[in-house]
Amino acid sequence: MKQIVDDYQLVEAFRGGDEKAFEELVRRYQRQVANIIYLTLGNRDEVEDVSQEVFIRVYKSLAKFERDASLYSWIYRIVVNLCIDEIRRKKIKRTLSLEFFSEGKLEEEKKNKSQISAADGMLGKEKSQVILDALQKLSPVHRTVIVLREYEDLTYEQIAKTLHISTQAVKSRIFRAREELRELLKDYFKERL
Amino acid sequence: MSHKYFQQLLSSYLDNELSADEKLQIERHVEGCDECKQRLQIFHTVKSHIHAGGNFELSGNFTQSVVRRIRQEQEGAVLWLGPEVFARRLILGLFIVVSCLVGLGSLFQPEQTVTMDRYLRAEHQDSVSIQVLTPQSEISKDDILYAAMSK
Ligand SMILES: [Zn+2]
Repeated sequence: MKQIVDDYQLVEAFRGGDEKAFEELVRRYQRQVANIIYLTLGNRDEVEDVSQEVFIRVYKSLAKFERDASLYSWIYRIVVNLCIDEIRRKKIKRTLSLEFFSEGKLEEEKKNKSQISAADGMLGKEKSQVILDALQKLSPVHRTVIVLREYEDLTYEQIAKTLHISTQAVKSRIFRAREELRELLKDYFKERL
Repeated sequence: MSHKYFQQLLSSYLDNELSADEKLQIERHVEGCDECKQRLQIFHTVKSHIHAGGNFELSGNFTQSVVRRIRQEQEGAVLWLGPEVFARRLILGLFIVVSCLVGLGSLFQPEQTVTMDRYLRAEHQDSVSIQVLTPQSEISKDDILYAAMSK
């Protein structure tokens, strides 16, 4: 991740009052940030707004950033936390509205979870979309870790540093996320491998 | 080593997180195990689709939008400083006024009770009874006895 002007120099310039340094930082990371958000939340409409929120948080707390961490892992941690908050907030909202209508719908939702991949196959949905939809069915914790691995190509150690967890925890979360995805896509892949 | 053992390692193998020795062992096993081969293939497919799925493009003026939102928040914070100070002073002022009113109210409260008042008006010639009911001076046991006898 070596840059012409490295991340630390940009941070120092920003701390010294150079607002352009912050803009350069946004340009440097906006693509990765947006895509981690997109893959985690699975909704294009939210990406722009949540990405802005991430960089506003970066702006506000850049003074607290310490050199012992890499800037990318510090930013990704903000992204992951914001995504997890967003998923939980939506889940509470959805559960409340479902409970409001009828309790039976919750059971129906659970049943749909395992059937959706097979149905999607029949509807002729594109393979990538089916896989991205399955990704949305994982828990927020499994989802974020697998996105950092598959999209960002971070090593177990880099993910561990980003999420402040052990490499063993990273390894087991990735393992479980993959097993869950395989289970969800089992029927879909039966005829397509 | 069993099939189960290798199956557990497939995920780490895919991520290139195994030692050279483990890597070699797993490759040998997968060669002859259809189940592991298929599992690995699914993992591969999922990986490449998630990777390629990261194709979102932010709007061209994204950086400017972020900067604008930060400016707006900063201006909002400055604008809010006025009302906040005003509200704090208003609450303090109200507290002082209410405290003063409560204090003044207790100053003007009538000290005598209605019952005592009525008693005093009806039997004003009975000086000892008045003494018992109005604690202006000390009364003795004899005073009470005298009051009872004289009535
Ligand atoms: Zn096997």
